Amino acid sequence: MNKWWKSGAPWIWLHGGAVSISIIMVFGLLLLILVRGFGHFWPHPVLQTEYQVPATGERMEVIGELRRSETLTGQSMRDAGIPIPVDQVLVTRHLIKLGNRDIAGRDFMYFIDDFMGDWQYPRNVAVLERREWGDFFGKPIRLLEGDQQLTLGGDELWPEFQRRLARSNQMFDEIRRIERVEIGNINFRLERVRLNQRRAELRESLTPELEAEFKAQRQVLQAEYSELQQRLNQLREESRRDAIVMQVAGGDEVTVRLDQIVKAWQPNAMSIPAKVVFYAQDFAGFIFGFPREANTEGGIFPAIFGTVVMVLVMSVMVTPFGVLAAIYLREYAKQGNLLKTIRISVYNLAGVPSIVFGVFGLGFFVYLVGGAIDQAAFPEALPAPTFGTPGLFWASLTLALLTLPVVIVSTEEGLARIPSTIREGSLALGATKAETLWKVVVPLATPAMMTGLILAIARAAGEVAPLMLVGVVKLAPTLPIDGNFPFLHLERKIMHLGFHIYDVGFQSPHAEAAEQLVYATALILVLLIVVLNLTAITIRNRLREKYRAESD
Amino acid sequence: MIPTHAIPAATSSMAAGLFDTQNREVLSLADEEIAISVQDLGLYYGNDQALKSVTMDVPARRVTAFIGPSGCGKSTLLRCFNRMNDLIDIVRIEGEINLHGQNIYARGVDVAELRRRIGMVFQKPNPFPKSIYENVAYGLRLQGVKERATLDEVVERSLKAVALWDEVKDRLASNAFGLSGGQQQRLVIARAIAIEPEVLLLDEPTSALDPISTAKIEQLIDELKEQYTILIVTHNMQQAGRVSDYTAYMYLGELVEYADTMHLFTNPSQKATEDYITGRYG
Amino acid sequence: MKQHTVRSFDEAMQRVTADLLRMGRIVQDELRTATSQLDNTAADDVQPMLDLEEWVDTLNERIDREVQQTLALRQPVAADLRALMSSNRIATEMERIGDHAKNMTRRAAIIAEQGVPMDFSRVRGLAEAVQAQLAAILTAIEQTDAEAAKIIWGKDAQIDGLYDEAFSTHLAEICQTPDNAVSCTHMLFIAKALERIGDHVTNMAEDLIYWVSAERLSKRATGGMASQS
Repeated sequence: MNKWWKSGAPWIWLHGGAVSISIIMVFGLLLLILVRGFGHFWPHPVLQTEYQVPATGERMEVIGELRRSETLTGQSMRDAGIPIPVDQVLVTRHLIKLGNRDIAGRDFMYFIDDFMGDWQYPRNVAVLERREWGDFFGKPIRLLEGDQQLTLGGDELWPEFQRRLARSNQMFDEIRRIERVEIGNINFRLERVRLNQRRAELRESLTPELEAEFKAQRQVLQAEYSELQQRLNQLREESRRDAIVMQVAGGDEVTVRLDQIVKAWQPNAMSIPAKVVFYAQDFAGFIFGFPREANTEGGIFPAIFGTVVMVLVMSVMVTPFGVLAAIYLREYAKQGNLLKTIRISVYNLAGVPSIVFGVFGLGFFVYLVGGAIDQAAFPEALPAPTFGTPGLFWASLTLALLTLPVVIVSTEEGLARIPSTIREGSLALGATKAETLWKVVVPLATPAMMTGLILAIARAAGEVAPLMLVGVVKLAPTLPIDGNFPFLHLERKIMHLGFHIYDVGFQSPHAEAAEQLVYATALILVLLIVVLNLTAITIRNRLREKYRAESD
Repeated sequence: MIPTHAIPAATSSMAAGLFDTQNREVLSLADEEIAISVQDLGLYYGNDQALKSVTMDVPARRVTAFIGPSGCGKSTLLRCFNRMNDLIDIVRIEGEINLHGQNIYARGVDVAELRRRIGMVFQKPNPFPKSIYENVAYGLRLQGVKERATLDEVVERSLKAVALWDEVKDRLASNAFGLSGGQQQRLVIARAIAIEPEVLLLDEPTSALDPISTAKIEQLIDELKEQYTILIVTHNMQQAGRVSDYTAYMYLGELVEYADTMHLFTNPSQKATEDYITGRYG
Repeated sequence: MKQHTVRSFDEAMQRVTADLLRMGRIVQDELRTATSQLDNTAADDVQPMLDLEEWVDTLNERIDREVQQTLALRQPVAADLRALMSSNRIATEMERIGDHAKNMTRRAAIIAEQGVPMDFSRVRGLAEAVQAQLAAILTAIEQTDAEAAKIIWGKDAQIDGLYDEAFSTHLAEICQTPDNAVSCTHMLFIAKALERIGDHVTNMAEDLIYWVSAERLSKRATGGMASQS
């Protein structure tokens, strides 16, 4: 035993154990997110059963999706007033998603196993994902076109419904496109005309001719607008044509208009390959779709896009800034107490809580700098602020400030690692200090700069708190990049995955419905950070390969 | 002495080619053209004096070696010749170093220009993170030379001068770090001579190399002295014997003995020198 | 052999070898001159020998210095070291041969002064044999040929045989005609000198063998003792 102690084996076990625990925690976390997140898109079977409500004894029909089951003690149930036999120790309780939020009032309910009948999985139960009010569970009965009932055989009903749904969705996409792109474009141009006119007014150069010209421009745009509006109305009218009558739990018949439906599926009738295809489509829709229903439904594309754009803008700002600062600190500044103080201050910036940066960003960047920019450059838009309000640029700038120490520290370390012989070699050939720095030293230090940037990206992509103050919102009407000049709109507000998670998970009225969405979004956030980091790491490794042997 | 009177008949047949080859020259500083003249050079690191009143004449187109134990100031002295010590803040220098009569420590001397005239090669090969071609062309590019033809020509000439051309001519564009240590060191020498300096300073150029690479560099030094004044610092006393024409023995910042290498290695005039070169040091 | 990477090292080695061969040729001339002048030597015929001797000394000194420099500055090892050490020793042997040749000339002059005609045939035979040995060893040195050197080394017994014959012949002559004792004694010394030259050639052969193959054939011959046994 004594020998075993002396052999050092306990230490190896201790270290090994620490590593194992870390690995288990990391992979456990990832696995949890992975399972919960990816599970969201799988078409779960829909069950149908009878339930006797324990309190009143009345019977009801249940159609829904089993979300999870849990086991409780019989005592706690009895305490809650539910008649469970005294000798029963354990009770199983199921959380079932009932959907039909608009009809039943609540879309999730607990059912106690003891009071449930046999579970059946009827093949004709359909799930409708609706644009409003969440999912709908029911059995399709017949199709309506206007007021006319279509006479169809039992087998033809569902395929015909899917065909008509596809048509309706196509129209819906068209409506969305017109609303988002074309009308958005017209609004943008109208706003610009208004601003141009206002600017002319402020400069007192508004002549009657000019005013007439603005008016003419406005009229043209308005004419375009009303034309589009007409088209929209027409499309909307057409898309209202069809409806489906469904039988819900309890036997009532409910009519659902097809333009209300995003998609429909009959999970109990789907084969495994069909489910896989459905899964892939659902996942793609999640990534590339726009959010609906207070973010609890639909996709997260604007959040992904916002996060990526914000991180990229931040990288563009923090890299030159940090690199220049590090070069000055390491290469030019006279090493002394003052420099030591500055360096300590910079390093300690990394330890300041991020919300403090948010407050600073809001107070300094948004109100002070942004306000000044508005006064100077966009007086025509006032009192509506352009840059004097939280937006992408300020969010990126705040994050740049937040991650600046990381970049500076890494770059400084990279510069310090460059052997002095390399510098001397250059100087000995008659190069000046600046020539040596830019032609030899900085290229060698680029891998270290990339390391700094990688750390910065990892940190920035995960920050939420400061962003809430300086530019991230729960729902941004437009993307920060579009087809209107100057294409990248730094003043716009953006959506962000981290904030999206917080918003969906904790601020949404339908917490139950959103739970899986939170996991899925978290998963996307993790994947996004991984992708961003891998990209940066690949670039760094390529650079390292290029400058092998002398750098790090 | 070769006899002057008549060669006996019996030997006359072969007398013609008898003494045509010269023996190793007997060198003397008095006969040399002086390239660099050091006058009372003193150097201080803060309050520590690292060089004490060094006075010496360095002959042109010869190899002058500096030997001595670690910390004797030989590298410090070498780095005075191209003002490399300027990079260290606390260094103070007194005295003069005259390169062809001009004091390099005089006011208004352009240090970059000086370093173009006095090239330097360091202990560890230090190629830049660039291609082989760009490494050699670096000095010229600094001077603003852009014509491809000129650069090509200089790169080829320099690489040939260091006998590296045949080894690398097919991969000029590849990274210099891919070369072996000995090749890198020859590349660095090519880089130094590409800008045609007058003087080459070699600071222990072979201490990081294997014996074969060392021999190649030594052969190279032998060839380069036709054109360049070469100063070499070496820890390896035998190397000084092999490559140099003149040798300076330094100890504790002082120039103890400075003479032609043959003399110094066979019959040093100072006891301290003899002790050092015969391994009776310390 | 392959070239040294540092060419000046090769040059130094070549200078030593070239000087050695030159020295050999001059010594050869000395011996040839001494031999040809055996029976008709005037006193002033010594002068050309002195000139040659001066050349030999110069070359010997030069070889000595070059070897010293090369040892001091280049730290030669293995074949280079053997070559330098052997060259130095061979040069010394050659210098001795020169001394003996000069000695022969002096003694021939004394014999001529005696005015008594002498029979030089035995000594001349010995001289020719020695000359052949010397020529052979010089060729062997030029070609660094250890095999040839071994053959030369083996032939020393013949020289000793010829010497013994000459020695006994002239010793008998002293006994028969005591008037010729002075000339005969000098004749004996000439024979002895030739025998010593033969020994030096043998030593050169040993040195060459050591140079080429690092093989030491035997203890150096110590001066004609073999002939007395």
